[in-house]
Amino acid sequence: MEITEEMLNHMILLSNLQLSSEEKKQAKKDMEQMIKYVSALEDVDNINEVNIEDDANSINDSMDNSKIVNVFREDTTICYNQTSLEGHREQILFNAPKRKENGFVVPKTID
Amino acid sequence: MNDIDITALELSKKIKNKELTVRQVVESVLERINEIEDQIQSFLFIRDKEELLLEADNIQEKINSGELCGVLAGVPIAIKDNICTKGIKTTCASKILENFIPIYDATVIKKIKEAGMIIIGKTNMDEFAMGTTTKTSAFQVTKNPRNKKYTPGGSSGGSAAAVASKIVPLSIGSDTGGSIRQPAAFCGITGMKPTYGLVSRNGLIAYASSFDQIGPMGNNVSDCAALLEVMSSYDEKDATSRKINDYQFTKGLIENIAGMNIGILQNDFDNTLENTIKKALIHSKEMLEQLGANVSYVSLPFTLEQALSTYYILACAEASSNLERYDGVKYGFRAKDYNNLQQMYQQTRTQGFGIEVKRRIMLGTFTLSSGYYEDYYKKALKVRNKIKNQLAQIFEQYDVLLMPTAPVTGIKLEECNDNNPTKHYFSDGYTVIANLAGLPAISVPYGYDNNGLPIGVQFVGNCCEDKKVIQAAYTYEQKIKGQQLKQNINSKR
Amino acid sequence: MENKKTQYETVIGLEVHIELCTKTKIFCSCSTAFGSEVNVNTCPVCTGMPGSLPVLNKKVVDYAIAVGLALNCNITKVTTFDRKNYFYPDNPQGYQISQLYHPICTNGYVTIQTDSGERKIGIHELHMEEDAGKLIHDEECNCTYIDFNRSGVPLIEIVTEPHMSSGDEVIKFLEKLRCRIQYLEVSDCKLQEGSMRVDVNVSVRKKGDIKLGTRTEMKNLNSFRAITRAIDHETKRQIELIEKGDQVQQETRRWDDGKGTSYVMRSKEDAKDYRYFPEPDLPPVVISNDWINAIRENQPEFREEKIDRYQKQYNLPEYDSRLLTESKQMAQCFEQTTLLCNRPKEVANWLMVETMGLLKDRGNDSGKIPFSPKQLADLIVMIDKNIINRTVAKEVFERIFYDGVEPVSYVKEHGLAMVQDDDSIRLAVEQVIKENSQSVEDYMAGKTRAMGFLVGQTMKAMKGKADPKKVNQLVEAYLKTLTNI
Repeated sequence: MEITEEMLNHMILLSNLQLSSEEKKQAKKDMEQMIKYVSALEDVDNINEVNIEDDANSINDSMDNSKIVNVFREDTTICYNQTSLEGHREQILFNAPKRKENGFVVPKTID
Repeated sequence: MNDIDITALELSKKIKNKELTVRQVVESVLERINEIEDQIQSFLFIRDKEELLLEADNIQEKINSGELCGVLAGVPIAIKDNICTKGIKTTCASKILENFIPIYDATVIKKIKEAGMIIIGKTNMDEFAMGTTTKTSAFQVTKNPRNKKYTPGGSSGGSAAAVASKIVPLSIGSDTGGSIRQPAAFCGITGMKPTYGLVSRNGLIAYASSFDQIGPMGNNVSDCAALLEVMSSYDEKDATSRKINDYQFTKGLIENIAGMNIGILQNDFDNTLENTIKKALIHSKEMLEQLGANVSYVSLPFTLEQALSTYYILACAEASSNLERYDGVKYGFRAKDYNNLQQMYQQTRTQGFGIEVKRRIMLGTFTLSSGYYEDYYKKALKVRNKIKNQLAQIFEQYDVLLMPTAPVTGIKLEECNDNNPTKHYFSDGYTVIANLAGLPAISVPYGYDNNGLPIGVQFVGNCCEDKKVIQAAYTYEQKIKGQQLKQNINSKR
Repeated sequence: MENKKTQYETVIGLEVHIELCTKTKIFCSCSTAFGSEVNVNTCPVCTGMPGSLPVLNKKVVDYAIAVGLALNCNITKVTTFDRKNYFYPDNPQGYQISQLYHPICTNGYVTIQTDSGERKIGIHELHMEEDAGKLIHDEECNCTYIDFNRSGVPLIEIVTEPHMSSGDEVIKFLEKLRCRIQYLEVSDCKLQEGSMRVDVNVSVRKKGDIKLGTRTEMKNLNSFRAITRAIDHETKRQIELIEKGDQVQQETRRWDDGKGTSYVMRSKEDAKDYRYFPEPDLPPVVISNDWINAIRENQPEFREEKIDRYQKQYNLPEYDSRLLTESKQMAQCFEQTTLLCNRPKEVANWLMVETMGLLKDRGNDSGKIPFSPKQLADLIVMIDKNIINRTVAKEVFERIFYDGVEPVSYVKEHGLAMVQDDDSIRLAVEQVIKENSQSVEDYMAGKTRAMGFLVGQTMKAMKGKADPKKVNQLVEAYLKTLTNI
C-alpha cells in the first residue's frame, strides 16, 4: 500500500503538528516501513480473534498470576490536604500558561 | 568521603552504625558531582545544596530517633525526569514541559521518601522516554562514563550514567521497551524491570501505558532488590496495579541456583548479535552449569522482528494518545505566535516536541486511524496476546531465560543521528519481549569487550516471579565477581 | 408543500446523554456538586495532568446496569473502556474515556403509546463515559476560559434505533425514559438543567422506501418544544431539498430556538477520526449474574406498574393514577399516606388538587413535597373523625405546606376544632333566623336557596367552626318548626 500525500496530511492534521518537508519525507518512509513490519506479523499463524470474555474470565487459581479485572473506587469524596478549596485550586492552576478568573485561558472557541 | 565502590546497603549500614552521617554522604555526592558531572551530564536538575543538607539533617534526626530504620535510609538517589516530583521541575527532557512543576509526588517518590532516601536530582533521558540513546533529549547529551565517546544508552541514560559514574549508588528509571536494561548494559551496571503492575505508574509520565514500568538501577543486584522492595506496592490510584502476597524481594537474594531450569535464547543469535556478546553468552552458560543449573537452548516460536513490530505498533499508538494532552492549555510550553485555537495547538506541539517524538506520534496516529486500525493495531494486539501465551508455555519448562540485553555493546554518540532512526530500532530486540508480556527482567554486567565497553546479560522470568529472577541474577553476579576484571573509570580520585 | 409532505416519512433516532448523580466523578474522587466555584472540584486526573491515572467509580457501573435493566437491555458480561481521541480545550487529556467496542448495555427497548397503538422504540446501546469541562466565553478579553469542574462527571449515553417518526413520538419516548431514570433516582434528568441532553438524528424518505435517507444531527435542543420545532423544521428543509433535486448533506446542525431555524456546525465528512482504541489504564469490568440480580431486585416499581396497581388496589380512576405517578416522590407520598389513613381517594384529591396547586404557585411543580405522609394522614383522619370541617382543613393544610406545622397540635392550639355541641349551634341558628326574616319569608315562599344563605350565615356566626352537616340539619329543623307554627 502506498502512503499518499493526502493520507499524510490527514495524519498531520489529526496530530496537530506541522512537519517540514524533510520530516514529511521521513514520516512517509516510517509508515511504509511500518507496513513492512506488519507483513512480518502475517507469519504468526493461527491468530484467533481475542475472545475478550475468555480472556477476562481466565482467572487462574493463583492470585499473583491472575488477570486484573474489576478495579473500582468507592463513591466517596476525599479531602485534599489543603487548608482551603482556594488553596487547592491555586495548585491546579499553578502551571497554567495563561489564566483568568481562576480559569485556563485559550483563544476564543466557536461552539 | 570514602570508598567509591560502597554499595547502597553498606552505606545505609554505615549511617546506622554512626560511621557516617547523612550530611557527609550528601557532601560527598556533591563533591563527586563537581568532579565528574560536567563531563558526563547525567543530571538535568540538581537540587540546591542548602536544601539537600537541611534534608540530610532531617533524615539523620529521624534515623537517630529510630523513626527511619529501613535498609536504604540516608541513601542518595537520582530520579529519571519523567517521574513527578512535587515542587521539582519534571520535564521528560522535552521543551513542551520545560517549566512544568508537578503538584504531586508520584507514588514511588512517596515511598522512597518514606524510606528515608534523599533525592539528589532529576536525570536526563530520551525525550518522553522514546529512544535508545538519550540523545533525543531536548536539553543535553549524556555520555557513557565508561567511554565518553559512546552513548549511555536510553531512554534512562542519565539514571544509568549517574550510577556508573559513582555519583549515586542508586537511581530510578523507567522501562517501556528496554529503557532501564539497555542503558544498564551499556554502562556496566544492573537494572531491573519488574513484573508489570508491581510498581505503581501513578506519577510516571506515560509513554506507552501498557508497557511502562518503573524500576531500580544500581551497581549490584542486592541494592536493586532493596530499592525494588521500597518502591513496589499495590496502589489504589493505579488501576493496573497488581496485588501480590509478598513484596519482600530481598528474600530473593539467595546464592543458589542448583536445579534451576535455565533456557538460553537461540533466536536471532547469528544475525544481529555481536560476536563478543555471543561469546559472553556461551561463557555464561558454562558458569551457570557450574553453579548447578540445568541449562539448555530454547527457541522462541516467534522472531525478534515480530516482537519488535508488535511492540512498535502498540507503543506508538498508545504514545500518540498519551501525548495529546500536551496542547499548551493547562501546563507546559505554549507557543507565542498564534491567531486562533488550531494554530495554538499546532505551533505549541510543533515547537515543543522533538523530531523523534513527532515521528512516533505520526506513526501511532497512522496505526489507529480508521481504515487501518483493524490491520495494524488490532492485529498487533492479537499477536501480543499470542506472544504472552507462548511465553507462558515456555515458562512451564523453564524457571528463567537468559539472553543478551542488547545486540551491541555500544553506540558511538556521533552515530546517533536522526536521519537513520531505524538503525537503532533493533537494539530493543531482546528487551521488548519482557515488556510485551509484562514479565520481570534484569540486566546484569558480564564483563567487557575488547574495547572496554560493558556487556550485559539479561535474565527474564515468569509473571510475578521477580524473586526467582533476582535469585538467578544474584547468584550469577557473585560468580562473575570472582572472575571479572575491574576496569578503572576515568576518575580524579 | 403539504401534499408533498404526506408522501414522505420522517425517521428519527436519538443520542441521549444523562448526567448521573453520583457523589464523585467517574474516574477520580472529585465532588460532582453543582454550582461550585470555578475549578475547585478538580484534581490531576480530571485536569489531565502528566502522570495521572483514572480509577473507575463502582456506583457508575451500578447505575448503568440499573438503567440498562429498566430499558430491557442485555447487560454485557465483560465491558471495557475505549479512548476517543480529539483535541478540544474542554477535553483535558486530549481523549475522552468512553465505550465503543463493548458497551455495558445493548439491545433494549422502550414501549410508547401512539395514536396508532403501542410502539417499541429500540435501544441500540447504552454506555458509560466522562463529561467534558465547561467553556466560558469572556467578551472583555475576547477569549475563552475553561472550568474543569464538570470534567469527569459521569454520563451514560443512550443511543436509540431510528424507530421514531415524529416529534410527538420523540417526546413520548423521552418522557418515558426520563420517568424511568427519575424513578431509579440515578439522575435528575432535566433537559433545562443539562442533566439530560438530547441530540436528534433526522432523515426523510418516501413512504414505502426501505433505504434510509441521509441524516443530519441536530444539537442545542434545550426543551421539548425546541425538539419538536427542530424536527418539524428539519423535516421540511430536507423535503424541500429533495424536491428541488438537491441532496441532503450529512452534517451537524445547531438549532436556534429563538430564530426557529438551524445552521450548519460541521460537516460529518471532515468529521474527526477519533481513533478509538482500548483504554490501557482501565482493566475490564466483569459483570456477574449475581451482580445483575442484586440490582434487578432493587429496581423500583415503575410508573406503568403503579398506574395499573392503583386502579386495581385503590379503585382510583386512570387519570388520578397517572397524575399521582408522574413523579416517584408524589407516588411514594400517596402510598405512604394511604398506608397511614386508608383513604386513597381522599389522599389522591389532597395531592392532586391542593398539593400540586401550591407547588405550582411556588413555581416549583416538580419540587420537593414539603410535608411528610404522616402530616397529611393526620389531617385526613381529623376530617374523617369530624374534628374539623373542610374549610378549616384547607387552611390547616396551607400551614402544613408553608410552615410545616403538625396538624393535630395546630388545631388544638388555635381552637379550630368543630363545634359539636348542638345547643350552641341552635342558639346561633335562632339568632341568624331572627336577624334574617326576609330570607325566612323567601324560604317559606319556596325559594329553597334561602336556606343555603341561612346556613352560611350561621357558619359565619360560628366562625366557621361548626360542623356544616349539623348546621344544615338544625337550620332545616328550625325552619320546619316555623312552618308548623
